[in-house]
Amino acid sequence: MNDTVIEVEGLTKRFGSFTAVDGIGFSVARGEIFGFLGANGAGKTTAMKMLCGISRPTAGRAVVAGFDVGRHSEQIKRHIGYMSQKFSLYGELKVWENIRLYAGIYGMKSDEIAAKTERVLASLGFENERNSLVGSLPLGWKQKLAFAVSIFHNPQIVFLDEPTSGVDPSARRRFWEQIYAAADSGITVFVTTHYMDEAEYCDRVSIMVDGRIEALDTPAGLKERFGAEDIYGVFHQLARKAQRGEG
Amino acid sequence: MHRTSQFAAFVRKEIYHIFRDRRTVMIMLVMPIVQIILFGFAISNEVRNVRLVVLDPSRDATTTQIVESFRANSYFTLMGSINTPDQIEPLFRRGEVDLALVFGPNFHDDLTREHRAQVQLIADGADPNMASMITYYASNIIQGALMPSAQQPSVTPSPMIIVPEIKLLYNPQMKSAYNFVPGIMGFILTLICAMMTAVSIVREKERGTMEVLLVSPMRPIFMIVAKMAPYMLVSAANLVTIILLSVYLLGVPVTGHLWLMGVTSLLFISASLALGLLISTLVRTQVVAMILSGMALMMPVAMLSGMMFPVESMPLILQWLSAIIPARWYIASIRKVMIEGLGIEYVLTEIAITTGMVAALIGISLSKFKNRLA
Repeated sequence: MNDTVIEVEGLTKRFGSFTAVDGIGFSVARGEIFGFLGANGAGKTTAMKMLCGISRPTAGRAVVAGFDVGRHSEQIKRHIGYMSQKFSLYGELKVWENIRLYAGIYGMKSDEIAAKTERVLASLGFENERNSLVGSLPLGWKQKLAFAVSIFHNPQIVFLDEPTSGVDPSARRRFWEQIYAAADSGITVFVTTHYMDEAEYCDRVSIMVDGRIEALDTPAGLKERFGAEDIYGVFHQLARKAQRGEG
Repeated sequence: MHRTSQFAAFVRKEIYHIFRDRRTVMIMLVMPIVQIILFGFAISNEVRNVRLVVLDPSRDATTTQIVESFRANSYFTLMGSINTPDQIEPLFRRGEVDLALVFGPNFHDDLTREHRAQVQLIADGADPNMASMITYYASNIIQGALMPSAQQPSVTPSPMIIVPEIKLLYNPQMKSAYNFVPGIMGFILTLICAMMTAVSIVREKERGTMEVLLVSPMRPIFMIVAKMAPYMLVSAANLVTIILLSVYLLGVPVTGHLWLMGVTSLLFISASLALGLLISTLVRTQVVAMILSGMALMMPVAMLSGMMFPVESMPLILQWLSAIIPARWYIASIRKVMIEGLGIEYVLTEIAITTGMVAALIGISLSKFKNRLA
């Protein structure tokens, strides 16, 4: 029984002379909620792209869901889910059509899709929205649906790239309940966020500065080590050292 | 991985996208009809570099004089003389001449004794604007060449009457529809295939769904083909509409093989789809994709493909430029197949060039696509 689903060592990505990700290393356990923090331009998006198998590392290695990102990126793609900061469902398609599309892309069979769609719609309380166009739903609902779709094919890991940007605080709290439920069912959650209060919800948090991981611990551990009131305080102390600008 | 169901799921999604957007569907399906009806108005153009061949059984003073005035005229290029009428049609089929000048036997004698002599002008009526322009101009030259001799204080009591007999091959009634139908086919298919593909791929980039698709196990090549498939369908529907309209409304018959038209059309559709794909790799927003397709495709297709203005009468540099436009080759081959009724051996050049273009475009697009992921 291997309980590590992400294993990263010396992972590096260079674009010409610019080192976007500079030898990062960490591991994430099954069912863990792993917060991946960093200012804009710190390299978190690049790092996440490598873990998702859509960007090749320049050096170092990373094993995701048991597959090496350099050599078996296609296998990785089948075992992960992904939700981007931009709302990523199709507004012109109905709720069930979006579900069927993504489930189909992940290779699920029709009868399997049909049965699971019922369960998911029920758990979201979306039974009456089955035939609504996704574009007509309120943003918070879209977000919930997008997350449900990203884990519909039961991936080992789900990558969330700033999933709650633009959502109001109460909707964000409900969204995190969904994340907890997914983690309880054994799905590892790898999440980047701008909201420091959300970092408190994670099991462990890493903070990237200028392509390196400057801190990695539980939220409580980080606060203790930096003598800060909250994660924002920790982040602020670290981000001050950054050499790189925004962007 | 169930590749086929994955592919089917994606194609179904594209079809929903297209057909739920009723305005776009209407535009795509109605546009060909409107254009076919609107384009009845012919567009005038200039006569230049007319390649002339002469059949002169008389070889007398008058015919020599007429031929000399053609030789002296900068708009005509004398390609040579032929000896029998049988030689005319092959020259036209090979596209080597634009005008044939045929004198009757005993031209000079007929003219001086009977005050009538026969001269025939033969032009390619598949391009009626051009043909009427050429023949009109040629008639004037003939009249002009005879003027001095007519004015000589000779014994001729009445002015000589010359009645040139004009014969237009392939389009005897000189309908302009023969010209614009192939042009519209090229235009509509470029518009729908290239612009729609570009916009629909860029829309996914703009909205962020492309990111999710890239992280999914769907292969880019499958995604691209799945995106193109519905537009291929719409284009095929347009093709059928245009052909039906041109046959039953405009009376332009399909003289050649329908299958050959199908093959060349399919090839051209592929080229246009690939062009749309290339544009989508170059831009980030739908608006830019639209403008780029409009500027980089619509204008050249309308102006340089031979749709409105004959490629032959363009300045050399524009002729070169037109060679990189897929629609130019398509329109040329549809003219040959549909209007002139020629077989596959006459459109091999067009087919080869278009095939090369498809391969190059897809190659470039895929490598750009992969570069972005590296």
